[in-house]
Amino acid sequence: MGIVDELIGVNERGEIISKDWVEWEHFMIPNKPKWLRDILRNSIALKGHCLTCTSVDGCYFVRSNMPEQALHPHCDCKTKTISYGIVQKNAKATSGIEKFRDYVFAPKHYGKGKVALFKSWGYTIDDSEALRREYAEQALIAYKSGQYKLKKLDEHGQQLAIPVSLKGKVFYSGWMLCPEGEIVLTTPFGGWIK
Amino acid sequence: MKKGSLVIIANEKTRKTLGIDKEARGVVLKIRSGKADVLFFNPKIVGEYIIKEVVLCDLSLENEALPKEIEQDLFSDIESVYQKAKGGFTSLSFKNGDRVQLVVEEKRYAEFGIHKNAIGCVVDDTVVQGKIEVDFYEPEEAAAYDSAMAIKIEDLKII
Repeated sequence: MGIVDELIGVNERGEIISKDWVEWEHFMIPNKPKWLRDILRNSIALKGHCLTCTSVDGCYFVRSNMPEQALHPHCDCKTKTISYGIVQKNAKATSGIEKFRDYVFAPKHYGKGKVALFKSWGYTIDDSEALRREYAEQALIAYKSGQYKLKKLDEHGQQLAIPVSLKGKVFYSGWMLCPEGEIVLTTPFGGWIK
Repeated sequence: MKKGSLVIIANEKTRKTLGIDKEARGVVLKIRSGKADVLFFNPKIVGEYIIKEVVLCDLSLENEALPKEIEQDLFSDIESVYQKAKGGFTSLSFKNGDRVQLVVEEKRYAEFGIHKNAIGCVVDDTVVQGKIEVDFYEPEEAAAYDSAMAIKIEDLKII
């Protein structure tokens, strides 16, 4: 396999994508199990280590689309190159049904503000499971293709805006990036793509 | 089991009495006379922790351990660790899915178009540095901010 093949590929939609990925690293923070990761993040935070840095430890980024290093003076973070095979193997999208059932379609939120769009498109609470699956499928392809926009990075973690298409309309959905290529849905509608 | 060991409470009655989650692990700080002082972090409020005395036979040792550097760091000023411990976990008034309203007008929010009385949904109720994540959807100016925003819990009310 040539150098070009190692760096460039084609995704499920026939789009050219970058295969040049990195894993963000902060020393002493494991990717899993989650309970150990949380204990160690909390323990070193007691001694002044940056929660923002440790929140992105273990996260996968396309090299050309990652946070700027260093995140702050005396930052301990590094990146290491990972194969695209690792990204393909590990990446997964977690789209909780509660984001639709308990947010978009919950009576207290339904039809209000930007989430009114879902009502205007004819979706109801009965569509929650189908939407959950559709979001997960589309977002995973986009993320593995490097088609994400970096949004806010803070102590909660790195937020991503990932394009999703429904009823012929394309817009951003909001996701939280977690270790080992996991993305977790935070908000079903994050704004129109300008 | 020794100082720095990672443990889980195996006795359900003890665990419930102490108000600790079933899957919560703790760090052993001291062992004396058949009991251990164990530090438990609050899973919903990052940085908050309690220290509880637990009978050794109620504890089960985990295979994983604290890295030496973290252990040394933690125990280098153990008195300070004890001083900052809470008596019990703070219970949260907000949870995922709550409809909330911003009750302050602050520059740190206004610069992103989010003003007093903006309405949104709690999308991550884990408290980090006193803040939770809210996705604002009313009015239009607040909805235009295309990410969830970290908001101080005292700046919000449930509606």
